[in-house]
Formats: sequence, structure tokens, C-alpha cells
Amino acid sequence: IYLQEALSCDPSQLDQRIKAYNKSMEHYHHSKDKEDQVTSKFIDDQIKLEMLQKELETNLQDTFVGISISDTIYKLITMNQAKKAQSIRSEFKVPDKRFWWIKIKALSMMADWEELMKF
Amino acid sequence: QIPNISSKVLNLTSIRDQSKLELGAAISTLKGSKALVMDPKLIGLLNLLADPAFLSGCGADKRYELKPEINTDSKNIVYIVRPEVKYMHWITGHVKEHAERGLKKEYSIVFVPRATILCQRVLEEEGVMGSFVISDFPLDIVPFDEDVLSLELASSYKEYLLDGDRTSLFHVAKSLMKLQAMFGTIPIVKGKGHCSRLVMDMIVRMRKEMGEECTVPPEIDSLILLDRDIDTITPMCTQLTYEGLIDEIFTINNNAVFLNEDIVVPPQNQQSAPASAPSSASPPAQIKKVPFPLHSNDKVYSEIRDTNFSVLCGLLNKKAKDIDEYYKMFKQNQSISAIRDYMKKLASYQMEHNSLRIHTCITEQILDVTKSPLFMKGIETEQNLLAGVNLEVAERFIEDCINKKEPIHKVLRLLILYSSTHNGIKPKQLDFFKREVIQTYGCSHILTLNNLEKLGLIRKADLRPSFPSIRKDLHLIVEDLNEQSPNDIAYTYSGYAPLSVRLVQTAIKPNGWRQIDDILKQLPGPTFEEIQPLPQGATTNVKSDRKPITLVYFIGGVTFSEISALRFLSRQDQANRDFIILTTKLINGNTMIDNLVEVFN
Repeated sequence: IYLQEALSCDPSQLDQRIKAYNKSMEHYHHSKDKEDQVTSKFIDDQIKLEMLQKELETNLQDTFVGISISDTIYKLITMNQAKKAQSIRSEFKVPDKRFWWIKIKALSMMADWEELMKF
Repeated sequence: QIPNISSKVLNLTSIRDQSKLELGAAISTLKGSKALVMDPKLIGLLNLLADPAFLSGCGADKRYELKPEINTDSKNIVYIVRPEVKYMHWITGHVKEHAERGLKKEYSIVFVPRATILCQRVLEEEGVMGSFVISDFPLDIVPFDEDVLSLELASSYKEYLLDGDRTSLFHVAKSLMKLQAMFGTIPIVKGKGHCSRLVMDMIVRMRKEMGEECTVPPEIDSLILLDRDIDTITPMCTQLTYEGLIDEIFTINNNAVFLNEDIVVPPQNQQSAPASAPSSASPPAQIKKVPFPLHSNDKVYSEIRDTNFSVLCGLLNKKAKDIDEYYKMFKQNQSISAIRDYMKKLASYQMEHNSLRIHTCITEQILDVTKSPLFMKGIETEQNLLAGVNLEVAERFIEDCINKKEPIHKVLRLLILYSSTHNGIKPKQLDFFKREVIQTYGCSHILTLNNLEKLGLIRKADLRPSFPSIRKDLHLIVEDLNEQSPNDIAYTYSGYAPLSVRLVQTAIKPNGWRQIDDILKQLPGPTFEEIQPLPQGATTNVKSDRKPITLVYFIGGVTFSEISALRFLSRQDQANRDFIILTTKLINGNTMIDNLVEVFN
């Protein structure tokens, strides 16, 4: 269980992080407890997220790894990357309601009233 | 800053004096003048014990906060710290740096409450163990007010329940032994919960090991031990007393709240105000935050701290009129003797005037928060969860909070409240909330949620909920509440009576806990009632002109509103007794879950 701590402390070394994630995921996955199975899915998502974030980092020249899914979407919208934001949204099945909230927040932050009116 | 605690009920000054002596001895391990370097977490606590004059008297004429760097020209340095490995590395850094620069200094470390093997090992491995004089300062009970004592062990709740670490329970038992040595063996002990049971066993064993006991006649007639986890509901609710709200919004630490300087310092002498120690550390350009002490020596505060916020404005208004009336009186009074009388009281009225001005400012700021729709909606949701109605609305509100990325503590408090009032959350709903939290606040909260589940604060719904019957039998929801002149402890939460305090209330009734046996069985942990045999020679000659005293020990923390509720009980005639409250930590919902929330970088 504390395997997870190792990973979260690791800085930008993505390979190491992923390795640690995988270890802890296995740990949870082999557990008989149903709760732990759920947890292992969360970690799986996290690995996917960080891979995607890494990709974004190389494409967009900005830091992404380490922030949450909602924050990633928020950041992408403020960077005018609506398409990428959409793809993250569908990848992780973000509920509509939350996505709207993020979008409204991001757009009003940018004072992009035109886009906001389109809702 | 230091409250006067020579209370009408029990003389607690002796506890503080003893700690002060021990502190003085610990500091004086190095002779001559020295710099005192303090653990940031201890500064506030030490301020409650000793004033600067006392520390200077011990030779500590320079005082610093412990940081990774140090800058002092003192030849002697005394560190006073909690035993944390991080600090050991900082201190080692100081020593090595001084050695490099060829400075010869003497060092001493004072551990509070005592050194751990781990810390000593770190010093040994760094090869600096020999440079230090090491001593312990067994600070345990710190008086906070006339009726409130705390050990200020922030993580005791987590340590025992999550890590199985019993150290803090040992400190609890020790503190009770200390009190019994000073105020006599407490004859009647009632308790509820696993921790309480363990503490009781420890006390019994410690008494046996001690053999001979001092024969002080018992001043405290009964003790009630309560575990925090028999009532996790109350701290999750927003406190609605004045003191409770200050704590919820600004947080109170060691009896002080940090306020903007322009509030605390009277307008006319702002320039000449002496810069106090903590504020000098804060960054310039911003408005300075200065500590403002909150305790019952402030006459205005002692009158309003326990009241429900809704009646506060009226009270402040009345107080202001009183003072105004007094000032006006001067113009009418002409005789010399009348003026002399007037002047005698003037100083105290001016003090009240100043304190009233500050509290009005605080109230204004609180009103700004409480008026907001979000705050009201939060309170409404809490009340709905407590009453067990409109569950869907509550669920939607929690979801909205996550969507808006409200502070994580707020979301978790609502989830815990939901879980503990409904005997868990429906599996599907719980998984949904978990996913939302993790996706919004980041993956480190996988661990946070795990912690909460392990402690049972959040769980899957399994059995038929037991809370409705507890709520009914203990009359926790009070509908016909008179807020102007409260008739029930439920005023502290505007309609909800804190479960913990209800238990105390029934415990002191003639039939005690026997009449609510069924309810107690539904709450976690064993229930017990024991009588401690008094040592020979200690007769029960409790003075008949005084109300009996009950010591209530909250293991795992107590909130300000619960304290207010207990004070309210002791003012009621039917209780006819005084309460002294002892706890491991003064908490609110946020600080209670603080060390369960995992954050990285």
C-alpha cells in the first residue's frame, strides 16, 4: 500500500513513476478485497492520464504531469485547446455537469464572453 | 496573552506553574545568555505557559523560530522541539555550518515531551550527537482557560486508529495520573469507546505500580471518558456559536486568532504599536496579521463566545449602548466624589470598549461569509443529512461542490457526515463520489479516501441505518428551539444537539447510562462504569458549598461548540455541577481530518 507513496513523491521522472504505479496497481489488483479492485482501476486511470499529460507537455511546451483530470481540462481550455480537452473528457468519462462547470470557469477566467454565450 | 486561570472551580494555576518550572530548568541546561530556537508548532503553546519576561529571566534573551537556516550571534543555542526527524536534519545543518565557519558554540536540544530513539539515531549517524546537551521537557497538560485543558497532540486520533500506535493513549493516562496526584483520586469513572477502555486499564495498572498514593482529598467527583469515534457526526457539522465560527472561518490556534493588524490595533496609536514576534516574520507589503488572544479574561468575549451567532448582533448592540451610557454619565456627574468613582471604573470600560470594537469587526467579517448563498446551502445540507430528509438534494449539493472545486476539506466533511448519519453511502453512489474526488482533486486522494475508509469515517451502506433511532431516543433534533434564550444544548448547532454532549448529559442523571443501554450498544466500543477505591486517609470531605465537579475527557479532540454546550449544561440548574474539559486537541472538522488528507508536492 505504501508503494504508492514512493510514486507520488517522485518528481518529473515519469518512467520511475509509472513503474511504481504499476507495482501498486498489481498489489491492489491481486487483493481479494473488492474495494482494492476499485482502487487498482483508479491507479490504472492515473497511469493513462500521466502518459497523456507527457504527450501534452512535449506538444504544448508546458507542465501537465501531477495535476488532476479536471485541472488538465481547465488548463487546456484556457490554452485554446478545446479539442484536446474534449478528448480527455471522453477518455475518462467525465460527467457532463462537471465538464460544463470547468468550461464555464475557464472561459470566464479568459473573459471569453462570446464562447460563453454559446452555451 | 496568558489567560488568568485561577478559576472559580478548580485551581489550575498550579498545573501551569509546574510546567513553567520544568521549562525553566530545561532551558537552563546551558549557562549564561542564550538564543532560544523554537519549533514553530510549539511557539503558541509556550506562549500560553510563560511570558517573554520569564524566558529572559532564564537567560533566553533572543528567541527565534526554527528554520532550515539560522542567523544568530549568540554563543549558546537552545533548541526546543517536538521529536521530528526533519528538525534533526535542520539542526545538524546549523551545527555543521557553524563548524565550517570556525564558530565555537554550545548547543542543547530540549525535546517535548521526550526524545525518541529515532531522533537520537539521526543525530548519531550525522556524527553530531556529542555536540548537544539533550534533555526532555515533559509538557503534557496545557491550561487553555478556566475550564479547558488540552494535551495538544494533533495526530492522536490517527495514530491509534490508523497506525495502531498507543503512545498518545499513554500520554492520556499519564495526564490523568498527574491530575489525580494534584486534585485527588477521582471516585467515579464512566467511559465509552475502545480508547477509553484502554486508558482506564492503564490507570488501574499505574495506580498499582505506584503503590503508595498521596492522600489528597478528592476535589473532582467524577470522570467521563469519551472516544472521538463514538461521535464523528458533531465535528463534521459547521459550528454555529461565535467562538466556533471564528474557528471555522479564521481557525483558532493556541487561544489566538490571526487578524489583520488594522482590526486589532486601535486606530489612534497604530504607528507606535510594537511589532509582535510572529508578525515580523510575515512578508511586508501585505497587511500584517497579528495574533489576538481569545479567552475568558476578555470580559466582552466571555459573555458572547458561547452564544449562537444569530443572537450575536443584538448582544453587541446592547453592550455598545451600555458603554455609551457610561460615557454620557460623565457630563451629568458634577460632584468630586462622583467623578472619582467614575474614573475608577473608566479604565475597565475603556478596555471593554476596545474589545467590543474588535469583536464587532470580527462579527462583520463572519457575517460576510455566513450571508453567502453557498454557506447557507451548506448549512441546509448538513441539517437535511442530520434529519435524514431530502437525501437527493444533499447528494446533488456535494456533487456541485466537487464540480466547483470547493476546498477538499469541505467535500470530505459532507461525505463523512452523509456516511455517519446514514450508516454508509450506497455502493454505487460512493464509487461515483470517489471517482469525482480523485478526478478533480488529484490521485493523491486515493490514499486520503483509503484512510477515511479504514477509520470507518466513510463506508459502504450495509446494515439498516441505526442513526434514526439514536436521533430519536437521544432527542438530537430539537424543533422548538428558543434561540434568544436557549433551552437546550441544540442551540450550539441551531437545532442539532451534539451527540457527545447528550451522552454526558445522560451520564450525570441519577440513572445514568443504564437507561440508554440500547443506544450505547449501537455506538462503537465498550461501555463501562467503575468506582476507584480511594487511598486510605483520603476522605471525601468535598465542601458542601460547592457544586460537584465532573471532568470530561475527549480522547481524540473536542470542538469549541461542544465546549459551549457543556458550559451551557453547567449553567442549567438541573445539572448542578461544573465541568472541566480535558482533551487531546482542540479541533474542528477541518483540523480533525487534516492529517488524514494526503497531499504531495
